[in-house]
Amino acid sequence: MLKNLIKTAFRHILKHFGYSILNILGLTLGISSALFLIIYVSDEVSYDRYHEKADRIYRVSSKITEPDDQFTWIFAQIPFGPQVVHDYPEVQSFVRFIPMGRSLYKYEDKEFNEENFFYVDSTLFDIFTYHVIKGEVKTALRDPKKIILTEKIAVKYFGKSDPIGKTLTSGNNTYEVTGVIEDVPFNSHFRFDAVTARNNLPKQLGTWGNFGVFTYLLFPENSDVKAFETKMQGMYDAYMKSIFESMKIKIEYILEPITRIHLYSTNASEPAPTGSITYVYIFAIVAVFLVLIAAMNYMNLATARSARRAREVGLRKVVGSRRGPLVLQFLSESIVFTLISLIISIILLVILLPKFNLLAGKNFDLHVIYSPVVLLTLFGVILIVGIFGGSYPAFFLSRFSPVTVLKGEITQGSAGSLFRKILVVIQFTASVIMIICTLVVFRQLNYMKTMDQGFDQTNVISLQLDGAMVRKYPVLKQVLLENPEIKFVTSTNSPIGEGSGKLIFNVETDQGMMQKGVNFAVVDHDFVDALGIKIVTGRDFQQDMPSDTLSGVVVNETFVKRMGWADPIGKRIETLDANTLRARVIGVMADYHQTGMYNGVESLLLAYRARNNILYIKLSGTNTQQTLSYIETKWKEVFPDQPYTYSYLTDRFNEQFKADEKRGFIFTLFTILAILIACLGLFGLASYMVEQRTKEIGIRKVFGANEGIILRLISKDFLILVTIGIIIAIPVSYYFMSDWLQNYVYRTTIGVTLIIMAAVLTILITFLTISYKAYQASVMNPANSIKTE
Amino acid sequence: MIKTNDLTKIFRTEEVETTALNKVTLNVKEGEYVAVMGPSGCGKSTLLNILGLLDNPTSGSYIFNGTEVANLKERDRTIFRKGNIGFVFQSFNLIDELNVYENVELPLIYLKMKTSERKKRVEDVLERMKIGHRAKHFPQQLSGGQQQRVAIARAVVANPKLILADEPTGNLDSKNGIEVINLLTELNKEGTTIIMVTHSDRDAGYAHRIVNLFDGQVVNENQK
Repeated sequence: MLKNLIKTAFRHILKHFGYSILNILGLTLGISSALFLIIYVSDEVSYDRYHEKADRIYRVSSKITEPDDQFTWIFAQIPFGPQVVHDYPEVQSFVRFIPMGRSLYKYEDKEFNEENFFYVDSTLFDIFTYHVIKGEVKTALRDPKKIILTEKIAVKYFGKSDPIGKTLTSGNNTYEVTGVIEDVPFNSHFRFDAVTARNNLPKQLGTWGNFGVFTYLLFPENSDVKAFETKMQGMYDAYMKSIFESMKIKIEYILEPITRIHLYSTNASEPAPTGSITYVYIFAIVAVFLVLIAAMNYMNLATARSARRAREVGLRKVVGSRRGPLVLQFLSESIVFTLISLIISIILLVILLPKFNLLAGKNFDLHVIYSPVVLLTLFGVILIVGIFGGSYPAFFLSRFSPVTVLKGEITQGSAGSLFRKILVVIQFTASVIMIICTLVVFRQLNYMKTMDQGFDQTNVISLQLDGAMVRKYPVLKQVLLENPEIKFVTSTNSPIGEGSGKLIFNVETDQGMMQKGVNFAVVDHDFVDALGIKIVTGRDFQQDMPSDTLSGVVVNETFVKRMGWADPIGKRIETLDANTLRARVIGVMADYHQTGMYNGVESLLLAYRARNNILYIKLSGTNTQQTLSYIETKWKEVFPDQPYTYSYLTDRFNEQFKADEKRGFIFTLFTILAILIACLGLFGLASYMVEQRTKEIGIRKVFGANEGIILRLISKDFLILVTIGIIIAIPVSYYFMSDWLQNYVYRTTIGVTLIIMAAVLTILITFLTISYKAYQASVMNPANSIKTE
Repeated sequence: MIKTNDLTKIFRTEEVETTALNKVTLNVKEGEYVAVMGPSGCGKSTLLNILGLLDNPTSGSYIFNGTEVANLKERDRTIFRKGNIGFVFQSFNLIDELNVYENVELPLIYLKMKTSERKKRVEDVLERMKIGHRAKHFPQQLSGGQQQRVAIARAVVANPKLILADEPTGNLDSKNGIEVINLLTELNKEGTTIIMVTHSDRDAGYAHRIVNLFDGQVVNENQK
């Protein structure tokens, strides 16, 4: 029986080869696209779940509320971890990651700058799960001067030789490698390259006023963490009230489950690019859409061909077949179609995985094919496409009464035409929604990239100085400025467009000196000029006014507005200890986006410091190659042992859009695929419509219809359906994308032009899809078409 | 009006070559009523299709109203047909999705005639064909005779100079068949040239001349 079913199914597929190819192509596109999306989605939701105790680990963030400002840091103070474990038995353990800062490490002749090494507490391996490849990791975190490397770093310095027992040096420090662990998996919200014991640092380090370490807490099983979060606010009263209350600053701690950080955190200072739960939902929906669109194509084509099959059904019934075997026969056809498409899809997955990795910024390997999620998807596809997609035609076709069929009362394709129309409308509604979403995503990205950032990135290159190199900065600056193609050389401690420090200052207001949390950066002379920042009132730090460097600060317009200053020049600003900085405002600059385009402009203060680690060089824009070579030569003269790497400020600035761009590209790709699948279906339907209306077209031509009239006749029905799809899609996508845009501080509008563009694009695509068939119909010889009896 | 010289039509498939018309030479004067007879497969319908500019001959000449039309492209044939030639088929060939009125109106729409004039013409012709009361009905709701009257109405509504009828009574009973033939005769008396393919001696009897075809060739012509 089964053999017979499969044999018949294969014969049918081979006999109607064109139709079969159309079906298999559509299904394969749908299934393979859905597979890629599901892999992506499952990876996104898998972040940090590989830790055995993942559901019990929480990161501590600090929410700081000032009288006129509020912000959240994803850090806690250094004393927080040990204190919370000491005070609250509810907390089982803690671990802190304290950055070691960018430094040069050496082993024999190999030396590299490392930015991702951390001091950690000895509890690291009790809380997180990392696979040890070699050596001893637990004791290493109790003893100073020991280091644990990830595999990547071990290979980088020691190649294939055994790293255990070897030493890495950095400045005056020497670290013995005692363990190697596998690289921290890519699906981690936080990845490090090496760790060493916190004991390398002085025992007393950091105060309650000093935020800056990643702190994680481990809770026992079945803890009520939410209740504890409320309870732990007592830490403020116990340890911080005396420092902060007089400044009216309140600190609350937030506990974030680590498994939620990647998808839910919107904090700009996350250590790795975050995902977005919205995109996860969107991609999951798109994956289901793609499979459904493909399944609908199958249903559409199968029912459109119903009259062809009806005769076969009638005859089979006449010779004694009951409905059951007929249903089985049609189902077996759809399952065979699905299985063929599945096999091709898996082959495509294998071939295209590297390209997809590149596009999505992921690192999947072929093992992903055996992952439960892929297997489950494949099973789901067989269920949805094979059985759900196949069941409608199966029940529909097997229903025909033999008498009706054999009398020829079922006209070609007339059966189930409303159902087909509805499916086409659904397909195109989905496609248009995706087109509009894609256009909005890129419009938003473009809006952020092109809006006035308040500073000029053109021809600015950026270099980084490490540790002791900063001392020689003035030398480098001097020699660089000897080249006339170099307009300005300046330095700062906060990369422009990427963030800034935040500190509490005493600021002069009408109510006297008040404590205010303010973003700040230290800069060298010419920072404002090199970056084309406008001075609105007063002046920039000036070389010929030495007092500027000691007691001058430049603030932005938002700062002035926030303080309510009518005349900002000369207003006093001091650090809390009043020793580090006692300054007066010498100038007000126009607002610019120091913290990037994903954040609003906040009050900002620039103080002077002659030597800073981030270097900006403004070039004239002519003879750029020679100038770059000149800079390299001078760099090597000043820092003979240091590698020379530079980047354009524009590139660094655009880094912030990368994650959104990648997701945008993925979305675009799958939108194109969805449209392609829908068009394949449409092409199939147009073919059958032409076939079905051959005689009518012939008659019309006999009585004078020309090609244009026939083209319109064929296209009209489809264009009406597609237009209905567009009409449904516009409000739906408008609603969703308006909501999506709310995630951005600076957002574009959706706009009528964009919607018209999407509508025109869809109509154009539809027309192109059906025009081939419509054209064929229009040039048919009427003498042949009216013979169709 | 019609002059053909050595008109030949060969149908080719991958394996066989069939000569449907073999050097047919035929003249039809304006106002003439010609019946084409012959056994099935002798090439009657092929001849009619070529004369009606629905198809091109493989070789030979066809002059319609002084113009050589044997090798026109489909687009030009359409232009030539419009308003000049009306067709009546054995199987009526009405469009199922259009009602009687709309079926008859079709040629006038393609002639880009104004709506008001179209309405008048369609109503007139439907009255004349005694089918006006069925204007809103669809073809499936009509008897065969009524359907053929609608088909004739459609063929004549644009006042063509030539009507080509391919076995117009073939699917009708004798009463309805006679009615259809009477209509065609009446049209001929008013000046329309008619070429009719038929198997029926009775129907052919109404024509001025009978052309007999056999194996794609004219075997004899009987002038009455």
